[in-house]
Amino acid sequence: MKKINIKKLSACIYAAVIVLLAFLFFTNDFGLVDIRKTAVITGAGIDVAESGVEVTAQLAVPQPAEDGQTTKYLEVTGGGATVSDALNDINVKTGFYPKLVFCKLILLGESCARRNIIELLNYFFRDDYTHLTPQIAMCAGSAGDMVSSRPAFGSTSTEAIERLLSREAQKSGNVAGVRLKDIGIQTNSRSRACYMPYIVGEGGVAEEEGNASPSDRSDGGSPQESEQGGSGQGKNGAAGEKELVCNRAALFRGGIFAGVLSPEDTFALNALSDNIGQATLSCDVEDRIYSLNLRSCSGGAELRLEDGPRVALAFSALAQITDATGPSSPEADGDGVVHGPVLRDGEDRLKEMFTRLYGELVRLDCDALGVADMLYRGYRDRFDSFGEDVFKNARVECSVSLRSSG
Amino acid sequence: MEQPASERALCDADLKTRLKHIKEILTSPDILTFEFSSPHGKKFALVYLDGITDKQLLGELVIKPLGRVKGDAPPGAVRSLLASPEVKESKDISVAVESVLAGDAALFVEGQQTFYVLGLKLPPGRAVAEPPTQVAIKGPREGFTEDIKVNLGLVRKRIKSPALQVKMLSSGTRSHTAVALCYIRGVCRQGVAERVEEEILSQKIDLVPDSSYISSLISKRPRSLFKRCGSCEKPDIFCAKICEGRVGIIVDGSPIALTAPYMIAEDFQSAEDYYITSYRATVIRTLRLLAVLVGVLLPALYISAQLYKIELIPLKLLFKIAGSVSGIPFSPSVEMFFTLFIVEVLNEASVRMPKYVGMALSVVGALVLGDTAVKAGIISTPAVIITAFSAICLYTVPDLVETTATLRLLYLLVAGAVGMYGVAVLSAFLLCYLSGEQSYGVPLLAPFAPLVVSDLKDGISKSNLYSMRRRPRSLGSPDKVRFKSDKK
Amino acid sequence: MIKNELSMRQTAVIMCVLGAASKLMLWPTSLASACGNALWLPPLVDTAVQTAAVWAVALIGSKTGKTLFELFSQSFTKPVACAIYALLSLFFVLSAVVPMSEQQLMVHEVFYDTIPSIWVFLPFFFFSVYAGSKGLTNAGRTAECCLPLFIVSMLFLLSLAVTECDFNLLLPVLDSPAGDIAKACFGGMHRSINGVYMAVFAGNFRYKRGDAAKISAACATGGIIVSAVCALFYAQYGELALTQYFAVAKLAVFSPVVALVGRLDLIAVYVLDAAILFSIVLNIQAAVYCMYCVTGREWHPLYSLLCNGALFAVTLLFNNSFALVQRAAESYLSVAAAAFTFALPALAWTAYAVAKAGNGRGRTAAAERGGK
Repeated sequence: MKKINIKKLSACIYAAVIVLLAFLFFTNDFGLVDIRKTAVITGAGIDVAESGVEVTAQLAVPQPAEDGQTTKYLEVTGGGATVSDALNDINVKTGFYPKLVFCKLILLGESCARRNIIELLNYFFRDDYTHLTPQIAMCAGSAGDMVSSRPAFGSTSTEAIERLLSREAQKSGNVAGVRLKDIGIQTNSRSRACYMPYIVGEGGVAEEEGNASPSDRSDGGSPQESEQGGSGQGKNGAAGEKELVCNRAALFRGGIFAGVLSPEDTFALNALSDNIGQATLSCDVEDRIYSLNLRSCSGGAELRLEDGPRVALAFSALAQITDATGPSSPEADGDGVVHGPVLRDGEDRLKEMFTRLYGELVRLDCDALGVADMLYRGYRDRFDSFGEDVFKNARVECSVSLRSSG
Repeated sequence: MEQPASERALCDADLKTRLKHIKEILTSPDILTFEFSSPHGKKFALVYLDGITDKQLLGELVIKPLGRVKGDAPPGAVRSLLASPEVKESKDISVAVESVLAGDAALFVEGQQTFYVLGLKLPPGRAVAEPPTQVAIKGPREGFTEDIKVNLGLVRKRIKSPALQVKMLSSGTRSHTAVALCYIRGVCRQGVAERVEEEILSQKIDLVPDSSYISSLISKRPRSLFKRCGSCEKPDIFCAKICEGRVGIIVDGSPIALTAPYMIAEDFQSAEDYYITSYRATVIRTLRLLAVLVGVLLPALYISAQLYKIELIPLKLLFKIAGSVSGIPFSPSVEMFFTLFIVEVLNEASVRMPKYVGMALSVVGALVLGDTAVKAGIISTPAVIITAFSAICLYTVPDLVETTATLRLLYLLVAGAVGMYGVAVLSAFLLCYLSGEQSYGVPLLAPFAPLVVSDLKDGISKSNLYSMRRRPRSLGSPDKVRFKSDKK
Repeated sequence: MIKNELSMRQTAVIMCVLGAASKLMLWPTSLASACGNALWLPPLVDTAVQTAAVWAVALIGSKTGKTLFELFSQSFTKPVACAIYALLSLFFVLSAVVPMSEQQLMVHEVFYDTIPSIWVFLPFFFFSVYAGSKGLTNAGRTAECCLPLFIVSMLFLLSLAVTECDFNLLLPVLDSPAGDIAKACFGGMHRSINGVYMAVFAGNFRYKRGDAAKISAACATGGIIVSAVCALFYAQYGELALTQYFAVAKLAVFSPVVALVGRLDLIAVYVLDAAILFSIVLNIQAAVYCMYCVTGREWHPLYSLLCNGALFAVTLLFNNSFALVQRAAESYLSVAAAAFTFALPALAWTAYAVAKAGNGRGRTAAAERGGK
């Protein structure tokens, strides 16, 4: 039998592989979806409808560079029994394959309060190609309307909302920013509670005229266009400009909507979640209102079990007066020291806020501070005796310390 | 056995007969003969090659002194009058033929069987100048030329040690190209020089016009994409390499000298690294490595990201790219291939074209092919940028351009056909291949695989002179220490 | 000429880097599913067992300087040695199935945006056939090349991940039932076969004093790295870890760096994949080496073709049945792994004792003959 020349055979194999690669290179279409067939979803709004779920996606469609524009944004609504069906509906309508890898915002409409949000968001938790990085928020009214609306600041609603929920905004304590991951972890924890920002759209010129009519959308409506850098005039019946305000938080218990916190309670929640970098607090001392700038903030809730369950709510910060009503003088303002009464008033206000927050959480039966989870993780052996309702039975102790930065 | 008539005639002392017969062997018209005699009647004949033999020296050192020879002078008297320092005696006509063809002159004396070969060659060549492929801002600017003797002189100028061995070989059955094997006895590993010599002498080839032929001859795997010999055009680099324990090969007619064994890491080093601070040298070497990686992989990464994984591209950049490619009639892979093809054609044409038309064609290349093609929507701006940047990156290591340019094309094929996984597998494949290859007993990937920690001081990072007291262990030099300080 | 010589450093790097790399794909998710927040423990337990086996076998190498095949041939006869090595060869081929299947799934998810064709995984087999025919020396050198790639990519990923972790999610410590943890430990045995690798490497490197300790330390380091990755993974995702496949690709997604400049972490994952590839192929290289010892013939690429042919057949057969493959591996292959992990060192020491006794008898007989 002829001995096989390994070297010649290897050379033939290499040549064949290169020819095959070249063939694939020039003709390849493994059914993959490349950049030209892709619709990038930058934000998605989810509403619950009678037929199931409606998803309004804000699609970014790149434009040829020579036309002077870079990106056109379309809002497309798809419906189905689940979010996955709704996305498939969008594919059917537009021919684009929607990709959620760049989705940075998921907006839940008010109608989602009727359903378990974990069920609604099941698609995002299951899909391997979607990460848990998008920020999530709830809005008043329809999420689809909000996604399609023209914001007062920013070119698209997604961009405007992302700015509202940015890390910088969160550091001010006014916004309770969370990601999809946080919702999942918090709901699956022993506390079974989570919270997310609650967005309200205020104002807006010709709000009713500006919105695309609900009848259009329920037909599986035509996509609405908004162009980046456009003239700012409403086109094709687009929504009027809205001011988006996001200083509240929506609470959920086991995935079910529990209520909405007031702005003050939201601030208190952010302070106790140690999310504040620099915040503003108003104090009223001797008929003068002082605006305090709080820096180097540190807050948290701690569970202690000596003498029964106690929740210690602690907060400390450096304070500086940034503004005040009433007469002032450079000599008085120049020393930079925040005087005792002002600091005490600030501390009292914060204690009051924390206590009120805790009461509200108990009333809504929503352990947003994670007390039950603290019990499970820190005192596992005593979890069974106190149970998941430990936060309702715990005594609240507030400890607030404000120091003058001057 | 009876001698052939021609050989008998040449052994004959008669000058005319011998000249006649030598003309029958060397028929070319540029082989000249010059007959002359001394005033005392002694006849001589010179045979030399016009254009290579130095006629002035011939006159000064040979013809003039021989004017004092008497008619009955013994053979020794002729020899003593020849002023040329390089004189060989022989009776073998083949030696005369070879020497004349090499540029020496053959002197025949009436009445004497022995003839003299005089080393008076002066072949045309260029002066020692800065090499175009290895430009240095700091450090020596001399470069090798095509003359082996000049090159050996440049080496001897730098290594004045009796341990420097130069072995002269001949390669090429017709060209008889001189090949000089240089190594330092006691520093070069035992057996390497002998193996190289054996490889050179065992290969019978017609013509050796350049050192690259020798490089192929001494390589165990001549068809490999990766070379097995180092190359340099500067004598200081050459001397540094043989001082580390390598064998150097200088080929007559080529300004590129070879060194063996070879490690891939040495192509990322330049002579200038040793003349600047070690920190700067480390940064520059890292930059070169990154540049080569970028040059080879960037087009492939771009294509595979566009086709298979757009998540790799940041969103805003993605919009820009998508906007640029949206009107292009080709698929991303074909577009990139086409752009690379244009760049390679421009590269090749710029080297070959006459300099008088170079300016005009450069304008054509840059404006028409680059700018206008983009405006016409035939290719996209990102593709042009990536291809151009990739081409520039590859030239940070010019010695590896042949290999890296081919690899870039291969990566592009794989990325376009299979995607990022193909790129990963090809990289692993190359790593596996290179790990198994060696050059005269030294692994190509030394000192990284196998890891030789002490040699890493002059790998990608460069330590200062005082830290590199020992020669590279990878080369296996018997004399391990190269730097000793008497200071306490 | 194919060589099978290694150095101590190469062996240690193989134990650490290649031993850890293939465990970073789906195992963290499987462990999260099996034992919740105690997922960091089974890698440590398995590593401890393997480290002991590595040390035991390395020590044998120090005493004899022979490979186990030579030792078994000398003490138990060559057919017995051939039988053991034939079983080892088969074991190594089967050990490659699970990491290869995981790699296939990982390629589909991490390297592509949508599910691509099965044929995109074909390059793996080309590479595997080539690398499998290269010998242990090549395996050692490629491992050394993988070391900086592994370190840089892991450091990059872990540094991006650690800032976004909540380590409270790992509490309470060891809350999961002991039975689940034990099952996870046992189920992971087929992934941790460093002791079996050592049986193949022993005698192929020149042993110096202290080498067994160094190699064992390297093996332990690899296990600690895997355990750390598992812990970080769970600290990132908590109970959501059960639904997040391919931990290494999901660790750094929350970092602000990724949000700013795009998925740079995927580049690190692709670099890490080179180490994963070599880690999978190491099984083939070891299988080929065993076949070479058994047949006693000169090295031939056919061995690698046969091993990869078997692997390719398994891939085609079980292309859509990864869960079945994983269950089978956890149930049966883990038993084989445990058997080899404990049996091989025991056999090796027994062979050593027999050889030593045989040598002692020989010397006594020679002395008696000399005396006469």
